[in-house]
Amino acid sequence: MSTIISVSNLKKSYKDNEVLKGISFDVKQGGIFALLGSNGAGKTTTINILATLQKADGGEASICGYDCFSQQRDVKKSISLTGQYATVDGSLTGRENLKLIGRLKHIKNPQEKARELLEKFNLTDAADKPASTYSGGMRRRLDIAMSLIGDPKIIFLDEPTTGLDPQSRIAMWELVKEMSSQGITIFLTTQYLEEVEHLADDIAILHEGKIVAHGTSDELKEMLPQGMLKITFPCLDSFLKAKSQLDRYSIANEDEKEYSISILTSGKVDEITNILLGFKSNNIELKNFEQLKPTLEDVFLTIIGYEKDGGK
Amino acid sequence: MQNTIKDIKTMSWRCMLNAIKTPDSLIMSLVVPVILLLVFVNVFGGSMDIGGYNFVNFIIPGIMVNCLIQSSSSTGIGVNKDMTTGIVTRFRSMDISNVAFLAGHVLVAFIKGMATVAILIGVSFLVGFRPLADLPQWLFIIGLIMLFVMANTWLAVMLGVMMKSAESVGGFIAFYAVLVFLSPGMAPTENMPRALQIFAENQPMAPFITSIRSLVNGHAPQGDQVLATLLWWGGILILTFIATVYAYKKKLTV
Repeated sequence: MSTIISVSNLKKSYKDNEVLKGISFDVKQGGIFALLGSNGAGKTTTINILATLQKADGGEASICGYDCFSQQRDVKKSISLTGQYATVDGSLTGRENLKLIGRLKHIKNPQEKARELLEKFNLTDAADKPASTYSGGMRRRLDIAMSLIGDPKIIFLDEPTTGLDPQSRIAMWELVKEMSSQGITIFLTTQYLEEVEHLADDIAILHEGKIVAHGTSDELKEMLPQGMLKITFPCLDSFLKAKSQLDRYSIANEDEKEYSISILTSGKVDEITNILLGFKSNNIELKNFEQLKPTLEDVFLTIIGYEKDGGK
Repeated sequence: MQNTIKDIKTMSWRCMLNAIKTPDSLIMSLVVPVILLLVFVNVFGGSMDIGGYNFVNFIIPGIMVNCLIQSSSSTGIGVNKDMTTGIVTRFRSMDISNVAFLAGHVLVAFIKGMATVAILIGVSFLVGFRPLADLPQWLFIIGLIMLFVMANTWLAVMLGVMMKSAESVGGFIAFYAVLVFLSPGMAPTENMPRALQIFAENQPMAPFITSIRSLVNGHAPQGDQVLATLLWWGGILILTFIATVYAYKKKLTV
């Protein structure tokens, strides 16, 4: 797959506040790319620079081969931006909002396009009601429908599910996947790890103005120790016996009241089998046994925590 | 260029839809002036010495000023809402000429202002407005009103772009509309305290009001009053235009 967005050493400060400290990443065509970070990490600033709304202080950025600073008109024609808050005109109806964007994008038949999108986004019943009367989920759908006009190659979604109820959030995920399956590259920012895990092919974690990790969800998880085992024993006796047997593994956590031990292993089946056989041959009873896989949340918190400690 | 004109048309279409869908702002900008008109005509009309004028002919320019400022309020608030709620961000991420957004607002505000004056004049006939102007004088009146509407439109758009919230835009314009009471618009200035009289006779609304008043009563306006009107409101138009474009660009390039 070819690269559609290329960012290199991008920098931006607001007065003394250095928001982006030289970030670099590439986005592949046709996938779903997620920029993950806490509030104030610089996500919106990054999107605004790529969407030509703000100027960077340094570095380079290009979209579809066009330079984001010197070829802004070509960039604008290739993208659609859906801002952090649904940017629809509340006093216009859904249909009028779509016609407005259609006319501004100079498409041939804005009326027909509006009708088609209303149907596709399940807004036909509310088509002629003012957008201010829409629910949060409907506004978001209208917002995305507006973004699809003019066949953009890339859609930027700045926190598309912030403030939505769980049902609308899942509907939004389906929508994003569908757009992606039609070949549109999706660039989304979010602070929800669940969302990233669910949607993104490619994830970059932005923290304090730097990209601190970049890869697929699995690649990021591999950054953490794999195959943590949590073993719980029925009594103190088994717990202590087991502990001495496990002394060659590094112990991540132990709880003498719960009689449980967590150890780090390679996560390979052979190794786990050997551990369990060892208990069996020494007549150590087990109460419970679970394998803990690192979640993206662990990765995120570990990276951010690490960065924080590193900064001190 | 062709696209710019298309975009201005589209933006005007949007502002026009907004104006039609929220007729309350047009109605409000008429209700207060019409009430003022009725109160002044029925309550003060008999007791005020205005030197032989028909009272409605005397009061109409002041009421008109109040009415036009009220009507510019919805423009300022509309611009401010667009600026602060993110729809401008959406427009800016599209390949649209930057002037289209402002031009759409200004065009529609201008049409709205002129329509408001037309309605106000229509209503004033019912309460005894008897203009004595001939055709050239009417054309002169319309020309001056157009200048005044344009200047106030840009003033409102400027406030909409610069101010942080719609409430402050509305508040500022409401305060500004009150200044018409400190002008020759509602009562003769001779009876005012000295300091107030100096302000009332020299503030920018004064020459506009006295010029219109002379014209509707069929007199040739005084040359210095016309000149002062053109200088004040032409100046305000140019300054607010420049300030708006500057502030708009500055707000957009963070």
